[in-house]
Amino acid sequence: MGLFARVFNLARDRAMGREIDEELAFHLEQATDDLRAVGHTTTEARAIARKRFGNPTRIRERTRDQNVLGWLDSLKQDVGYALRGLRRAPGFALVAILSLGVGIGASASAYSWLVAVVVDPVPHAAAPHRLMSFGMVQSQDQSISSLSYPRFQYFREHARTVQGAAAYALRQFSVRTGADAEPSWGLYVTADFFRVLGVPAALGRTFVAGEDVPRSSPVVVLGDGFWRRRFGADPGVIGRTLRVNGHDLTVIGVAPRGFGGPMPLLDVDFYTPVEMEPVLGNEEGLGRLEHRDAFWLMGIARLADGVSREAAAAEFAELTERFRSEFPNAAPRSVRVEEFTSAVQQTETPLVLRILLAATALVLLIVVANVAGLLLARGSARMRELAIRRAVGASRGRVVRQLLTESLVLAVLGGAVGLAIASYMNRWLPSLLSTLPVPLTTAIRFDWRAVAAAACLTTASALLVGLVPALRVSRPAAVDALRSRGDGGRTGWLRGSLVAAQVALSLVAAAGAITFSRALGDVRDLPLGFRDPEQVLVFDVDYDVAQLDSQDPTVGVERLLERMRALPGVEAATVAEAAPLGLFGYDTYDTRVPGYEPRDGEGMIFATNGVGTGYFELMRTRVTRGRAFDARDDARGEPVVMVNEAFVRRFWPGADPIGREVHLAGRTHTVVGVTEDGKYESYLAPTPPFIWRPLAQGGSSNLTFHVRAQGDPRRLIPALRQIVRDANPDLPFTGAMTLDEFIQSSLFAQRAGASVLAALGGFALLLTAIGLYGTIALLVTQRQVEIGVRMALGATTARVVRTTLRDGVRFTLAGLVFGTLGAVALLRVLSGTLVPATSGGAASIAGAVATLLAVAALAAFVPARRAARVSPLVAMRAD
Amino acid sequence: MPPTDVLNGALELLVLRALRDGPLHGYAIARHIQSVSRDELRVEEGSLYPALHRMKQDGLLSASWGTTDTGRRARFYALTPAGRERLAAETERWTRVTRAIGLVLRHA
Repeated sequence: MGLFARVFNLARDRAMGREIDEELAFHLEQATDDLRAVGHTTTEARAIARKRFGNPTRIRERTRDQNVLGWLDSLKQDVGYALRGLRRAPGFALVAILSLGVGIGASASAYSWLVAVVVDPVPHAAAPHRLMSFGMVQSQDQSISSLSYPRFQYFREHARTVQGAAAYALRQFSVRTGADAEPSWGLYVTADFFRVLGVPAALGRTFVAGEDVPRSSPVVVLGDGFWRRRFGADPGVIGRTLRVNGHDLTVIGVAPRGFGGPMPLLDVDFYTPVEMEPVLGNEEGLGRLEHRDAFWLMGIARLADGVSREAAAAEFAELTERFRSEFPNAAPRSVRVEEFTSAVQQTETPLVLRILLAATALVLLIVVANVAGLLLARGSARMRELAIRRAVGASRGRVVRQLLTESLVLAVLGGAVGLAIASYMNRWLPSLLSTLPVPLTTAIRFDWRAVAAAACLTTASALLVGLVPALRVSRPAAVDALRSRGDGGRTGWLRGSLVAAQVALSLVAAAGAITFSRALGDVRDLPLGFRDPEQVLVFDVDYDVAQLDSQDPTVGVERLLERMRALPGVEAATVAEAAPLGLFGYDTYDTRVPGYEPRDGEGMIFATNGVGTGYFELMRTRVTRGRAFDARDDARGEPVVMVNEAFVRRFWPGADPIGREVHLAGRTHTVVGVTEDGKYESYLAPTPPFIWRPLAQGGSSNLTFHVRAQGDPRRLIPALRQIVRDANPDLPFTGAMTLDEFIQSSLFAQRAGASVLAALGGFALLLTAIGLYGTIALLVTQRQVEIGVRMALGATTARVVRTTLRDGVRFTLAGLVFGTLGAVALLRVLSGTLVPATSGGAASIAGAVATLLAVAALAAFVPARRAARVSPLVAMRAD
Repeated sequence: MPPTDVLNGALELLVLRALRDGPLHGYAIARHIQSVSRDELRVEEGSLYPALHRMKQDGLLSASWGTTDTGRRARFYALTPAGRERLAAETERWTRVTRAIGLVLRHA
């Protein structure tokens, strides 16, 4: 019989049932006729026929089971039966479906993120495992490698082990929109960039050979997001111009949707040839493109067919040697070759993901334990109902199938809820990262493999557990269930272990959540090395971008600062190269301290900040020795620096640092002052040696203005923006926020982790509470007769409550023991990486234990009290 | 041929045999077996109808609604070609098995 006929038959389901009834009725009538014919009365004949015939319901069920439709037919029936059953137990259904939903949703979302960052960080790239990243490093323990343009060209021309090589650099640009300059993120790329990645243009074309002649290729490829945002996804955009940093670039193509550049989660606005940098970057005089030792590009290459990464690494190392012998004056550097996908994971982001993933795994396990417990409880509670069905003729297989169908229906509904939750989370999680000053992919693509895997896991466990009561009841002896009310010792034990497991897992989750929230508080209390950041407003003004001179008397820094200081409510204003604890850190310098011999492999590269006059006063940073920079320290003065206490401790322990010399990039500077230690690039790392330079003696032209205000500094933003715009409309004024908000963004990994863990931890607690309550309530129901007898024999309510409580708490205690071990392990992993090592783990665990005990006691108390209140008579008549 | 339960196989064989000479309804099949076996074999209704539906599903029988001599609507079963083949094979196997059992009983 073909599929069509089966489906047709399914539709005829009711007719089929009628046919069987009719057939059996005919049989009875015929038998009655025959009996009448041999002399019985009609009534007698009918009674005998019916007796001989047996149980018509049973025959009908069994006949139906043999039906053509077989499983299809009964599946439909079972699903209907399951849905009716779930409607009758809405509490059970709601909790089970929601738990499954959260479990499936959370894990699907976490996995989708993992795919976006780790597994498939560059969507659309062809054969990403054949890609490698390469660049120069000073020592091999340096995590990020970089290239100069001449060195990149050298590799591209000479390397034989790769099919193609490209380089790129992320830069902020100012794109003119009407009267304002809007900051945008562009990627400088070499002509082969798209070809090496294997990414085709969605519209127009990518770069071609010939578009790599310095200064002569004013073309741009738009990112998909930018194209949609700025051009309304206009397909006629090709050939139009985009004004970038004051230059018109012709749009030649649009990158495919979902491709946001070679960094995970990043959504680059546009791509332009790196050879345009001398024009767009206004750094012609600097000769960044020609300089052999200006390391600002990231390298990527595609391995040639049949070549291993090791072979390519060997060739690149050899080429580095050759480069050095051809250009003996070039800085000594070694080359580092890595698998591309692992290189792009060297950001902070995966840390958030790892927390998310671990937390999700925990919740998924808790969900499985919870749903299993619920199903088990429900199965036991329905023992008698099932036994009755069995007694009236349902076959053993049929009952098992029915229970399994219910589990499956739950899993399907849970999966649907999970999908909704996952799609919400995929939109919510990017908002956690929205404080980052870079364009991020706004939506993570769904990974259907993740949804399927999570659904399979939960369904499989639901089925497995659903099987326990099903098999019990399907044993012939199960008819005993009609007589007894007992729940077997083994299922009781299984349920107890499930509760214990759940308690243990939620303890781990809760301890993690508590540790994170506490750690965030602790971090806020750490000495920063500056004070009252909420009173300080920071914003960026990039003179490079606008092709303006920061020293220019009409639009330069001093002119702007003068006007800002004149604003009412402004207490002080100054500039620095960067604000502390920013995401991109500070400029670093090769440092040499005369008289200090670095040990082998000791890094002598230190972060520095160039600061304007009055910086330390504005930041309320204490100068502990010597003096702060002042008017003497300008371009004509003797080169000077200040250092922090950590620097002094490392190089001149116990000696007076004032007047000593420090060599930065080969230039000699004299130390004039020392500041207190502070936080510079990381909250959690120990304080590193740090160097301050006076901006007047040189530095970056991309400046961060600092304005200390009375009252809320944010209300000054419009006035400050106006001052910058008045100076020159091409000057991009970006990222205005309080210093407090600014440093918060450097905590985003911790904050995102904490939010996720807190949410999941709370959910884990809730699930555990429900699981405990369900189990204990069931236990009590099953022992109602016993309790009734004991009450009748004079036991006090308190005593009954106590005994019942003990049962519930026993499982909980077992879970707490294992959970504590797990929590200790978790905190050991977190400490020093995501939370300061000083955070008290013991207190977190104690807090989590207390919380769970309270939950367990409450969950046990309510049903216990209810049981004790039941009148013994009612309890014993409960059947 | 896969080993089949002897009794199940027997009922199936009896039904096939009853239908060899033409279509019959369920009740008539039961009566036929009972009378031909001189009331030695009584077919349980509880087994007959499930067996009929299973055999129909297996393609051994076809079924159609018709009218009996007394004017009642009844479901008539008939052998399909596959059913005929099965009847031949089963008859052969049954004879062999009963002969074997007879031998065992005689010599054990």
